[in-house]
Amino acid sequence: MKKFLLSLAAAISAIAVISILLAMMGSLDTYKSFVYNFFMFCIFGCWIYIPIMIIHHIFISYIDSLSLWISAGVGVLVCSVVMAGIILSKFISFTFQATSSHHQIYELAIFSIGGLVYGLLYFYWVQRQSAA
Amino acid sequence: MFVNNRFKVTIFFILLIVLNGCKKSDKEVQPAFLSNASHPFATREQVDSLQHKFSVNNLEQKLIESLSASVKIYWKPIWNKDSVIKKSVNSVSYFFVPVEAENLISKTRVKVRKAKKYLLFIHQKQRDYVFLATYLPKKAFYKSSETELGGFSGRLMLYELNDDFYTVYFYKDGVRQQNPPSAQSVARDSQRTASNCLLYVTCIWQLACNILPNEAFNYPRNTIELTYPDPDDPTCPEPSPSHECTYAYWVHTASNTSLVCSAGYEPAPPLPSPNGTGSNAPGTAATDPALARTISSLAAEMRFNDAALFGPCPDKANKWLPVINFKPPTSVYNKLDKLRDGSFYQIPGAPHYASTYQEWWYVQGLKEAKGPIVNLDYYSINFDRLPVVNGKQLTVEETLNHIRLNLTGYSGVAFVPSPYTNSNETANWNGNPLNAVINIAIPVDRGDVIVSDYSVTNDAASWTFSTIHTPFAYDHPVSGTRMFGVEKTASSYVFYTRGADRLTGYGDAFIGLMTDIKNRGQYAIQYDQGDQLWRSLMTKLKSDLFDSQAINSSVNQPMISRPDFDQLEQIIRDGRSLTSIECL
Repeated sequence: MKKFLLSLAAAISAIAVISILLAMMGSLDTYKSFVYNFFMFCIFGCWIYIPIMIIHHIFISYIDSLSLWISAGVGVLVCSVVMAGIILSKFISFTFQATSSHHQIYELAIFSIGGLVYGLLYFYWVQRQSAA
Repeated sequence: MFVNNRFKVTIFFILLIVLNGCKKSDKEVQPAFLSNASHPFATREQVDSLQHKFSVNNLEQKLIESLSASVKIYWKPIWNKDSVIKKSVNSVSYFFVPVEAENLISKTRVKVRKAKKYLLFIHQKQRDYVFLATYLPKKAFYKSSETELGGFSGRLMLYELNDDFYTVYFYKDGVRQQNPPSAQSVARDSQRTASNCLLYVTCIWQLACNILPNEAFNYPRNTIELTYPDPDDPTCPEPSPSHECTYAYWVHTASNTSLVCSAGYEPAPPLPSPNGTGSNAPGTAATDPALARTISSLAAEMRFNDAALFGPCPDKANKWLPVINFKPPTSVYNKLDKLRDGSFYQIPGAPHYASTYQEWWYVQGLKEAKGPIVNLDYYSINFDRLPVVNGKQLTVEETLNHIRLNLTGYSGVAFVPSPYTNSNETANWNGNPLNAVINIAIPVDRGDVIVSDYSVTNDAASWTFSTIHTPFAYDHPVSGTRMFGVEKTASSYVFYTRGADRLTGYGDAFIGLMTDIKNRGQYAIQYDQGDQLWRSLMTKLKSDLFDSQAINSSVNQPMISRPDFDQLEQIIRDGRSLTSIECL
């Protein structure tokens, strides 16, 4: 349970980072945009980040010698693939317009950074906690 | 080190999230009437005590009034400490508890017009009286000029619940009249001669409405209203126009009439104004009881009547009413019905229930939305002549269609025909756009709309978007209607967009509130997004379409109205006219 809560805290922290970066790229008030993005992802985005957390956890559990950068790398990989899948899906792509930033490539990059943050925090908070 | 890092990161994000809340707590001040020790509202303990007295004496039954076979009203007290007004005059304590009408037969709330009722507790010389107080204003009082709002003119009828007696008082311009003039209403009835009697008439109205003019009228169960005539003119006044349906009229179904004669209870209670002096002896100015509306009754009114939101801006309400009352035609509902009844077979991987679940495609109505604020906006640009495109002089309709088909380019946000409706939406959109489903790439939260109206006359053309829920974009972040049009005016032309919408769900409303806690969501980011979009549209039309052809054009200042509840409440408490509210 504690491990799950720590994973969730890592995910929410990663969402906060993503929200800050997206807000900085938008044309509206940065603070408002940050709050909006953060709560949108937290409330309506769980169908994205919970699968990411699960996939990340499954990958990590099969790696014997887990290190900080492996955890971060897996985070980047999983997040990038999932987000690329979403962005390229026909439901999202038919308008060919990014909705969170100026370009979908930026969105992919920002979510990859979120995966990196998640991987780092996962290692610090969950793995270290488990080892202790 | 590990603990320090974790601590720092956690604190950083907690600080970020609560930052706005901290700002709010610095600035937010307690309303004056709460911080003032002499505020006119009862304490929680006093309200509890009143409620206890009311219950143990089993007075609920006395507040039930049978008006007709289908209308049995329970005057339900609102036991809220912020709505119970307390007055003390000459060691007599008065507590005014607002009541609302509930029809016990249909189990619905009933609106009451042209009268105000309170449950009135009077504590006098160790004796308690409990009255149902009814303020029956004269017609002129409700014609709401500034001076007339200064004082109540009409009759106050008190019905004592324990001992079953009535008392009637007469007021003129806020002044209790010691000797009422001969009561014209009584004089009309040969059986009544006493000048201290009152013909008490309750008029029952039922709304008849339909959506299309050729449909049979239906009678919604929950649209009964009660009105009370001027005490000196027993003609039943009609309720205000309803916004429940497109075509509506009020049917006067019954009147309940009784003769009430005064037992002469004295002294008369003060009028229930939070800021009044409380003195109500004959000859003393009193305050408008309508101004004693409290936040709870106001909130209740807003819940049941969207038009109440336009109280502060009545001149604007009329301009937006067509958009607010707009109902998509049957063809829109038919299209959405067909889509949700089984057009999902072509989507690979779609679960079976997706083809039968009835809520996948539907219109998101303004009334069904959860956002507490109605956003009303109007953006426009004037231009002195119609543009030429590809060497062709456009007509009014062609100008509108040019803008419509190039909406993505002019607005900077993608408006794309939806590929998921099993019909060629691109062809629909490019031709007669009625029923075309369009996806809008709203930042972070895409939404779908349907063209629910398209009309063309010689000098005007317009189309209307209604927001819809689809299985692809899910909820549109706002629910409502937006009209776009080109019109010929006296000396020029105008392109405009006029919208009326509310944030769709509780989640949207919560997020909107979080982005603008200081103003309770009045400037929520979802509204900012819309504002930016429509401003950008007007600006780009000027630069890309009109300026490039040397057409004189000017972007008009947008009109945006989102009445602020707090401001509204404070103005009511201060006894000021609602017209003093600034309409943004």
